[in-house]
Amino acid sequence: MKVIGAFKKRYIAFRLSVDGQPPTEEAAKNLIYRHFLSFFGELGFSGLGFKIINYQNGRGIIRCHKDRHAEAIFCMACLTEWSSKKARMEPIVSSGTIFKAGQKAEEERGKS
Amino acid sequence: MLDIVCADGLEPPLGIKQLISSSRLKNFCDKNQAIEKKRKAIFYRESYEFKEGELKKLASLGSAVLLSFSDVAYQKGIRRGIVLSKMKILVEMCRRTGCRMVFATLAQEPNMLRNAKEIESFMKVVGLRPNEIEASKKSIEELCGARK
Repeated sequence: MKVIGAFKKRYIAFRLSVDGQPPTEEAAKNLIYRHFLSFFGELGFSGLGFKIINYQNGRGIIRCHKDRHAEAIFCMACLTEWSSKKARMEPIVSSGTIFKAGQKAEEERGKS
Repeated sequence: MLDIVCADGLEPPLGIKQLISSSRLKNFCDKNQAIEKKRKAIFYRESYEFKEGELKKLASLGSAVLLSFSDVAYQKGIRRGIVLSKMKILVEMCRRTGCRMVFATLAQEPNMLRNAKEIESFMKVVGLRPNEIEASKKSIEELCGARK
């Protein structure tokens, strides 16, 4: 069945660290949701199609609307501090599928 | 892609070919320096307040205006909104006058560095079109060619 009303998605693989250490899953999800909400506001956040797909040991994947993925990356780049600690959310790769985003992120990890 | 920073000895992040220290660039002008007849210079003002006449002069001299990522990232709330809005106005004015724009992080420490993807998204957010993004990348490479 062809999905007509579905929005086009982009999956962004990222690296997250607070004070140089990867936060726990619960802390990371709390941090990411709060940061995006404060950056975009409630209305902007609702149109972003944002979702945390997975997160483990400082690495994860988020989903956003294809047309707004530059804004999502910019928002991630604007994270500099969390609870008075230095924080960094670095986008690594973006792709149209979760599988490819994960695969490309692994490749980048291998290179570095 | 190149990036201009404010410190020495930093490692380039993903997608950045080279980091160039602003102190080593002889054509880098900050601290509200007057727009003299300096050809191919990079002008940076923290206030992002340029008059249209100044931008026209910069365009005729082949100089560029620098927009720094650190000014946005290290602000919060309303202040960040104001800086972004000033940058958007400046981009619009540069487009009208034909003045070149370059984007950099002006990082002072490793945590302030951003990768190529992040700088590109910053360009998109302030309103650059795909052809202007390419032109900006070429401009920074050309203008950073002249070093002390």
